[in-house]
Amino acid sequence: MPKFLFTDNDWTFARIDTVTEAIAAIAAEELQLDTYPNQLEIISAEQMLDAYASIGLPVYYAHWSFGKQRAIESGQYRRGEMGLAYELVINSNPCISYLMEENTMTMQTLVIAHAAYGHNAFFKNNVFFQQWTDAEGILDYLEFAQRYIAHCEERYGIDAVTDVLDAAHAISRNGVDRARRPRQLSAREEERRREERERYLQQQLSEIWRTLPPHSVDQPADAAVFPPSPQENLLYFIEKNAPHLEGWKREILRIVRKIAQYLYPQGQTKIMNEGFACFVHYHILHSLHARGLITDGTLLEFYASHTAVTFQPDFDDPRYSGINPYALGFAMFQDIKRICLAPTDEDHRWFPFAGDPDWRKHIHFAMREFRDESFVLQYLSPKVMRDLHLFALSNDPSATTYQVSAIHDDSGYQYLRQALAQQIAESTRPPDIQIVSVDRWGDRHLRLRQMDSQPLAQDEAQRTLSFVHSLWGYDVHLDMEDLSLREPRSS
Amino acid sequence: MSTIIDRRSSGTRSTANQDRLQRRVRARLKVAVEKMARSGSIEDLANADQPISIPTRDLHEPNFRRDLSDTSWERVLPGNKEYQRGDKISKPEGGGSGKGREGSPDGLGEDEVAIVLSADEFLDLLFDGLALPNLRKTALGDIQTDQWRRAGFIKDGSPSRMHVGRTMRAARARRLALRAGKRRELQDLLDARGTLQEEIQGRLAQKQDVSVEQERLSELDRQIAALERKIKAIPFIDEADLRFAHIDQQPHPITNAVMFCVMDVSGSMGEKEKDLAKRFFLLLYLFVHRHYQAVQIIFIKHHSTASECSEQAFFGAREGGGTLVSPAITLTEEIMQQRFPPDRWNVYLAQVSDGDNYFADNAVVEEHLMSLLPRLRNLFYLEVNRDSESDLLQLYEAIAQDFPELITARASEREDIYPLFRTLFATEEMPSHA
Repeated sequence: MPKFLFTDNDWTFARIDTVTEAIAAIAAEELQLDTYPNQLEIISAEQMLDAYASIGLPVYYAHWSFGKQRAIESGQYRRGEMGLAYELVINSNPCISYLMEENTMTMQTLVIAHAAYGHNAFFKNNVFFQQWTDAEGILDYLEFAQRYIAHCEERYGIDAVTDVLDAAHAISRNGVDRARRPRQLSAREEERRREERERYLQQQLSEIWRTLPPHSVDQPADAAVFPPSPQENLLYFIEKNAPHLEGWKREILRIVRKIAQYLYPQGQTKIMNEGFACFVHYHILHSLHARGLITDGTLLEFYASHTAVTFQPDFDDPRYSGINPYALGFAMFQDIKRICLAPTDEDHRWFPFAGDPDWRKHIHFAMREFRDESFVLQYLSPKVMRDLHLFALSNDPSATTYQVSAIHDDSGYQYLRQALAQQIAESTRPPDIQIVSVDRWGDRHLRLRQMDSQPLAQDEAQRTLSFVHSLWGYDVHLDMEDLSLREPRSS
Repeated sequence: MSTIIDRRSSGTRSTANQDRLQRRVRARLKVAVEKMARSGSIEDLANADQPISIPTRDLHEPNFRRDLSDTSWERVLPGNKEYQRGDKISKPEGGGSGKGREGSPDGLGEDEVAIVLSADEFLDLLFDGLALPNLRKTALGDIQTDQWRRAGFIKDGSPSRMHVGRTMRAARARRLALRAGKRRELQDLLDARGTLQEEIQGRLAQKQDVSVEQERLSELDRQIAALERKIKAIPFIDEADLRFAHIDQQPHPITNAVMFCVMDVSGSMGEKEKDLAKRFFLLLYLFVHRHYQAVQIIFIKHHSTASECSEQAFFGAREGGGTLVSPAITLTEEIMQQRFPPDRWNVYLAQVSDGDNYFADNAVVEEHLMSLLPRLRNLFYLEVNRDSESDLLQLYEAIAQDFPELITARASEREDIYPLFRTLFATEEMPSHA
């Protein structure tokens, strides 16, 4: 009978080491997780706040918005309104997990299982992370970005750099290739290609912007439409085509775009990522207990944290602030396992894999192949909907009441699934705004069009447009559902 | 396959972001700081560490966002208890989107960001672009005391200051240096002796004569013994090794300042005038404070007599009677002599008055000022609530011709004080006084 790994609750480096080994063994033997090598870093609360301010990235360029974020969060933290996360994990190879120094040994165990094995395996295997991000290159690239922007600040002044970053940040959510797989990052490659780009870009631009077309005279005939098809990646288009943008500004746009691209899958897989990590830590902690490696006390402390994290307040609870991705994700992954091991008749009707005892295969498949929207469409089971008491509410702006459009009953399950998937899709996707044309032969104005039908916040859109204008250098229009905003030339 | 790294010692990396944030809201911070300067109590402000709240709309980061408040939408919610499909739920008043949260205990709303300025950042903003005037004659740091300071190591000194570590280090270095050559020589001799002995063995084996070699061997033995003696004779510690910590007297600028606040509390000085005075003293105090480690304040109120008092009494007191300025000047001089000798303190005097002084007193004031002024860093005189310049002000202005340390000004409204202060100390105007 092995001894307990620890009985009192103070963490030490040696204990973290032995616990990590035990967890690694369980992760490999019982869950068959495939992970990046782990790098566990112990940090203080201040450093955790730093990490928060820079979206968890270990290295980031300087910008006032990160200072603002930190001011807000450290204020909330000091007033006790917000607890800090116990961990933070970075999609990189090796996979970096931050452990707070305040954590008890039980918490460190939980965090290692959750982040260093749960999230880590998700990062490595989920198809969206595989396709959209480059865990190998990100740390190098972030360092390159930080260096380059610091260099620009020295050379062109902090204010000039801030202006470009402000504008780039404003459209960074519209700076992601959604349909096309981006190229891999490589810092060295970046450095080398950066100079090349700078040299050739102006040349290439002059081609597009030649005032007198070579064969000329009948110009508007072939001037029909540029770009030939609408472009969804605003940052990319401006970086490549803005008439008078200096080289270093283009490079900054590129940096913002690359980082936005890297972060894109995280927003798409929040429920799955957290749900899977919770599923993994839940399994591992139980297994540690079953193997006699942790005490009953540790298990109880774990339950307290676990239930706090996966708690879903009801819609009428003052604590309610939307659907808790931890709660929903965890419930769904647990339910996949249950459907495999103890299926009901209902499960057999809903899920072809119900009753297949190899639950790992199905958990792995779900974890690899989906993102939140499709995951909900595929796996949200009637039982989970019943457990969470889900219902759908619809709003008609002209009516004085909301209407309950579906509840968790036989006639509502399908409807709820689709409504929730739709809701997730909308909340993770920015408004679809694309560049439809540039007036190459006229006043060079840039025309954007909103491709979806949901109304934009007008004031916001106006201000965002003025940022686009500042980058493009000429007039910018946005065609919306019924009205068109025009950015005045003078701004 | 996992590495554990302790990052705690690498500290926080937020400074660059913080700087850029402050840079961005500098104008707002300035307004807030100046507002605080107008309403705070004197000594509190010097230790200003309060957060300054900035409306988030100043720091808003726009992007393309949906606005669903006025459109049809559908949402999935958890926690259904009683609803059935088709139930209607009346919308809350006001469209249903706004359920405001109450402000937090420190008064910050949700749409505000608190920026905490350090005391230095606070004062930098408050006194952005200002400098103490007239410091060319009596440059700051003129006044110095001697302080004992460590000044390296020397080769002799009193035994009590001997530095054991340094001494032992020197001794070891000397021993190593002196031995090295001899050791090498010794090794050579030992090697030679070894080969010689082998040779002797060889010759003995062949029954040859070894007397020459024997002689050579004993010669070698003698040399070896001599060298070993020499090596042994190298002293473990020598007088030349001794090192002593040296301390030296060095001039050191005095970093303490005292500010005398002198105010007229006669009947003619009302609440409004006192408020003006308070603003003026406050700003001066903060300004002077930036240059020194610690600033003491002495409050002196006067009407026909002068007395030292507390801050509360100073600003609260309203006493009748005629006005004499000279007793206040004399009292300042006395206190300075007794408690703040000017060779140890940087002395500032700030005086506020409505200028009503008994006519004959002006001559006395002049006489005292002439002796007092050379010992002051600055004298600031503010005249409040007058339509025309008083005789006292004219007297001060005349004196200021010879003593640029004397700075005079007039103000009648509260709002005047800070701008006045700024014009007095604006750096570009500084040299033109004579």
